[in-house]
Amino acid sequence: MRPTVARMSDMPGPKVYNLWWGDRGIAAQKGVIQYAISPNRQRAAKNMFRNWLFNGYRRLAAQVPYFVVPFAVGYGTYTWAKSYDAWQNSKAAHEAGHAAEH
Amino acid sequence: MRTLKKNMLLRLVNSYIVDSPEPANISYLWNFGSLLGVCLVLQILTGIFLAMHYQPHVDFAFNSVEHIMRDVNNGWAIRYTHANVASFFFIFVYIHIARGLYYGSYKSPRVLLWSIGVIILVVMMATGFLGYVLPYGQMSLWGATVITNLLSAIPVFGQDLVELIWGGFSVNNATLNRFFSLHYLLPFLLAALVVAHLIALHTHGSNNPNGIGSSTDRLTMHPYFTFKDLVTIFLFFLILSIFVFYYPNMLGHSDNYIPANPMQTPASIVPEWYLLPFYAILRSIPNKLLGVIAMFGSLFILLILPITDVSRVRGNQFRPAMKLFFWFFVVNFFILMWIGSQHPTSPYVEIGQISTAFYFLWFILIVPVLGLSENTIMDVATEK
Repeated sequence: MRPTVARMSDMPGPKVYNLWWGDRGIAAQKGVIQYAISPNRQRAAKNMFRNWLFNGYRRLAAQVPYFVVPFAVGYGTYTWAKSYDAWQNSKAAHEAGHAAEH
Repeated sequence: MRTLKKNMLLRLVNSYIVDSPEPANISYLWNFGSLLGVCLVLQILTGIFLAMHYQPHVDFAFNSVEHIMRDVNNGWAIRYTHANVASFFFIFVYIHIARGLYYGSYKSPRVLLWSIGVIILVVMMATGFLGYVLPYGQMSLWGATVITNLLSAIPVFGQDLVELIWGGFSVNNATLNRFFSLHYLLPFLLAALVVAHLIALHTHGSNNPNGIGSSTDRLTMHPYFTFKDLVTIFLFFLILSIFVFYYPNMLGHSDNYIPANPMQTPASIVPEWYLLPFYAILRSIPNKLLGVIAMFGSLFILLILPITDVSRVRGNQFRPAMKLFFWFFVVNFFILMWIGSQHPTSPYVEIGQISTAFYFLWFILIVPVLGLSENTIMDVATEK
């Protein structure tokens, strides 16, 4: 394929943010060499499940400090409102002169 | 392969889903776009088959849906798939938007992409609402009554506009007919908007979790991301099957299995779960017109993010304070969703009002102030 075929289609050019293969600013395509070991020697799924579990845990745990407080506040509001609503509709609240408006 | 790259139409396919250079570091959060595409295709396909058996008439609509459920070959599966994919459509679109918020995908140069996305969201909601009216159960009729009546809050011609939309003086046969017609039309408008969304996406390419240019580290769409997308597509089919085959009515409202009755209002009129946060915003403002403005404003305020986010850093990956406030925003969204499903009594009203205030303040105060402070701190730290 001539490179111009790709350039003349609707693909992003060098003046846009998204560079297309071979554009300046991206690694030159000339002389690119790809190495690969024999498929019989490859271990594509090496430690896949272990990484999924432990690296996944590590990545999620790093985010915990950011969402634990918001969710705690949210859950606290939810449980407080539910119990307040239940109390408002209870006999005790009516006796105390504090009933829900319906 | 020459044909794939030279043929006028195939080279577009090649450009978009074969050779497209994608950032190597995009995470599974970048899979929701393809999931949404799958949802749209599923909805159009199931919808076309449902329309073959559906009767858009107030006397027959409810029964024709039951006919689909009982008499049409596998009609139950088609209808339950259509109803549940609608819910998944919104789950995915909310995660897709949250991804955009978290990683600053709305920032320049992707403002057009983001803006088309907001329009898609609004059209999706309109389509979902119109579709919910079609079975003509109690919740269909009364939901339609409540939502169409919102337009009566418009001064001077509001009531006339509502009657024009109804084609009468209440939700009636003419309304059902035109809602069916529009429910069939809008998905194709959505498909066109999706094409526009993709064209805008391809101008500048996908954002990535680091928020910096990724031109030096790209992988082709195929095979790397086509297969990665398939992982979540199959996972989606698995979870969707569990819903369709075991809990088909879990996300719906039981009142919609009662035929529409204009003489009897249900105890509580609640919209579908995905409209609840906006319904809560609507109800938290006592003035009707202002409530309607706030409800629509809560969607369109997404459009001002490219302006109000003044941070020099794209996304929240390296901004701990913004991470915290992002999660506050998410929790606030869930609170609004829950408030929308409650009766408007104390303390739910007050919580809804505070949450509504926080929703808007997040866009117009928290995001710009945090960005400004971080920029300032960075300037002070790097000053020589």
